[in-house]
Amino acid sequence: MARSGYIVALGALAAAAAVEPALADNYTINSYSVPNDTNVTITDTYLNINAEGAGAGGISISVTDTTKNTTSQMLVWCSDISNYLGTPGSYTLDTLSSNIGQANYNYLDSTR
Amino acid sequence: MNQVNALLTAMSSGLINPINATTSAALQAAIWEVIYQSGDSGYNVTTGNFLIDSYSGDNVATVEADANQYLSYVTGGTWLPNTNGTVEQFQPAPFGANNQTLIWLGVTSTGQQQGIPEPGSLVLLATGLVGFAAIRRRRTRA
Repeated sequence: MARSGYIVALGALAAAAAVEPALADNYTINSYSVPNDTNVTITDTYLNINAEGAGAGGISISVTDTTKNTTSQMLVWCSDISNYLGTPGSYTLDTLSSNIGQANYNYLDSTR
Repeated sequence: MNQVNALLTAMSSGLINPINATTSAALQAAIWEVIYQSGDSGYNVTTGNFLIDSYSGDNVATVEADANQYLSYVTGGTWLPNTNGTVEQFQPAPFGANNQTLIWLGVTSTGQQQGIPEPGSLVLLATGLVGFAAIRRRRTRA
């Protein structure tokens, strides 16, 4: 009986874990353009960014899924004001931190 | 993340026109504000840590006003996040490389690009199915 319960628990756990989306693919961004490319000058006192120019607007990218070898065009937005977009570049798929937007959130990711 | 989700949902619903350069810049600024706000000044691109100083395409006050309006719609509940959507991002590899992270709203129901289960998860799924099959077999024998 105990062993049967263990198997049930193991099966349920494995099935539950399997339906949770896991993001692990690798991508290469081949090129990009900003259809409405306009420049804003921004300041961020916390990041010590002072009056720096930045392109603003949706970014159209050509991205290749290197796992499936498929290429598609996507409209994306910048979530980062510290770095620049250069192509080609290698990326992994992730989700934006669930902490973003909550009170006292200061970091885009744990490395900053 | 819900606030960013709501902003991108509004754009995909046509409430923000991404073709217009000014509104497109305002949406980008609103996203940055949500991500970089300090938590002590609310969502406002004219106060707090993150500020827009100038704008090349129009009067900066127009972009600021649009961005602040978007943010007020989000915080006021006029614009809601898509509960079927996930804000996904391309993270530079190796992690932390000097390149921008890029985000978009992945929505399962509309067939937009979503994360694909990695092989490890498929193995877990198979393990679960084998477990259930074993249980069924044991009960059948009993």
